[in-house]
This record gives sequence, C-alpha cells and structure tokens, in this order.
Amino acid sequence: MRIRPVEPADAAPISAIAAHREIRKSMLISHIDFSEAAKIIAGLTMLDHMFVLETETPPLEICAVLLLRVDRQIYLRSLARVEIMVASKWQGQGVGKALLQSALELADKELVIERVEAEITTDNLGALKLFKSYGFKVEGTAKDWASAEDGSFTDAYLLARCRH
Amino acid sequence: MPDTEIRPARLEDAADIAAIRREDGVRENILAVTSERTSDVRRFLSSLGPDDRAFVAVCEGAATGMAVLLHSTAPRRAHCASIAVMVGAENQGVGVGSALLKRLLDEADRELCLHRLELLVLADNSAAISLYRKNGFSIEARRRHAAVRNGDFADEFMMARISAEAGA
Repeated sequence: MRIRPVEPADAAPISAIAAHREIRKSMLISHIDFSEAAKIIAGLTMLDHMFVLETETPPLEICAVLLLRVDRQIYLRSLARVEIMVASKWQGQGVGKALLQSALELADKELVIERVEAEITTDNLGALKLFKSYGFKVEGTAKDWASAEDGSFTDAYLLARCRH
Repeated sequence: MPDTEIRPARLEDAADIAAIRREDGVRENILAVTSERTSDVRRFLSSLGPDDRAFVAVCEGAATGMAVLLHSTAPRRAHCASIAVMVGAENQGVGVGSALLKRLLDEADRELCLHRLELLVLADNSAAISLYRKNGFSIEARRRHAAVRNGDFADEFMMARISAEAGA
C-alpha cells in the first residue's frame, strides 16, 4: 500500500467508491460529495490537500481518499477540516488510520495547523474510535445535522484536535 | 431603537457594511480584518444564491447592521443554514440585532422552511449569546481555538435552533 497526492486520473475510481450504496449511508458527513471527484480535484487550491491510499501491486486499486481543507477565511488559516472515505471492501483494515496519520503529520509539521476538525454521524462508531485514537475530542453533538436517505435526520459529533 | 427599517441588502450598502465590519468592537467578534475593502463586501453580496438571505438595518439612510443566512450546500444538509448578525458599535444594545435576527428567523421558518439553523459565536460574546438564546438557539459545542482575537486563539460556541422545537 502507498499514500500519494491525488491526480486527475483518480477521479473515476473515487467517484465509483462514493457511489456505492453502503458508502453513501455510512460516509463521514460531507461538506464534500466525493461522487463529484472530478470537480473536487479540478477545484483544489493551495489550501487543499488531498491524498489517496492505493495498492502497490496489480491490480492497482484506490482503497481510500482523504481531503484536508484549510479554512478560507483569512483569520482562520490555522484551522482545517478533514474528510475521509474508505471503500467498502477495505473498511476495518487500517487504511483510514494510515491516511489520517499522514494528514495530521502534514498539518502538524508542514502547515502548522492549530486546529483540525471533523464531523461524523453519531452512529459511525468506527470513525469515532479512529479520530479519538489520534487525539480528537468530541466537542459537542449537533442535532439533526444531516438527512438520511429515508428523510429522517441524524445527529453528528463535532470533533476537533488542537495543538495547543 | 431609533427609527429603523429592515430590508434586503443591496450592493450600494457595501461601503456602510465594510465600515461596520472594520470597527473596533465589531471586527474582533465577527472575524473581520482591518484591511477589508468595500469590494470584498460587494463580492460577498454578489455571491449570494437564491436560498441565501442578507438583510440590513437602515437608519437615516445609512446601514447600521446586517444579518445573513447562508443555505447549506452540503449534499445531505439541505435542511440547514448558518446565520450571522452584526451591529455597528454605536447602535449596539438598542434592539437592532434583535430586529435583524427576527426578520431572518421569519424568513427561515416561513419562506425557506428550514429545519436547523446554526451559528458560530465567540464564547465570551455574552450579549450575542443571550440574544440567540432568547430566540430559541442553544449551545451545542465549545469549539476550542476555532477563532483568533487580538493575537491569540479563542474559543467559539456552535449554537443551533431546531424550528419545530422553537415553536416556529
């Protein structure tokens, strides 16, 4: 397995992962719709950092993707938001963990980001455990944060990790 | 409150709004910076979509405050919007913010039919927090070091209002 920055050619496989029914249900709640990967990749700026984790031996396959977005507001360039998506068949095998670790090293050592935040649905216990293991704390619960396919609302944990 | 009209913001209000955003006593609370130009506000107002709203309070021909509602663009958050209210330093504490907020809530409840409204406010801005509480918002999270004020990191609150619970 290896982690590398995203390339335009990754758009199709990323969209395919995002289109999977189980992913759409369990995906970390997104400000980003990874099914529109081509648009996201084309729109990346110096404030955006996007990685893929892929297999190194054939068949080459993208297993997971991560996007770390530094806040646009000029006051808040020390704040970033992270989103991770792991393909269904690769879940529970540490690929999300590997990507998150890379992103946090980038945030700490290169970007000097004070605060990294994330939002997850309260039923996503795997993600909660992953984020907590990297020092994220639950700052609160946002009621009716996102809607599910059946039209019901779901709450979200607001998570963050600060350097100081 | 002096004779004040609440109406949708126009591009011509940009200079007044930019001046308020830069004021001492306003800037620190709304994450504005002293270098902001009128064109930055014009760009913001021009960028508003059909489900976003911006209102100004106008007194004697000049804008004294503004309230905005930004509809969420996230795929699963079409029922949500974030809001912000600001009032010029010399018009604070006389009901301008309250009037602006009420207009915004009215729009959110009756026209946009939004389920969840949320906002971010600095944790020590007690006047604003009390106004939001009075209007059905409650604190959901303390966001550590999510803001900057006078050279230091500062905490802010995430506050939210669920329309059904607010009796809307």
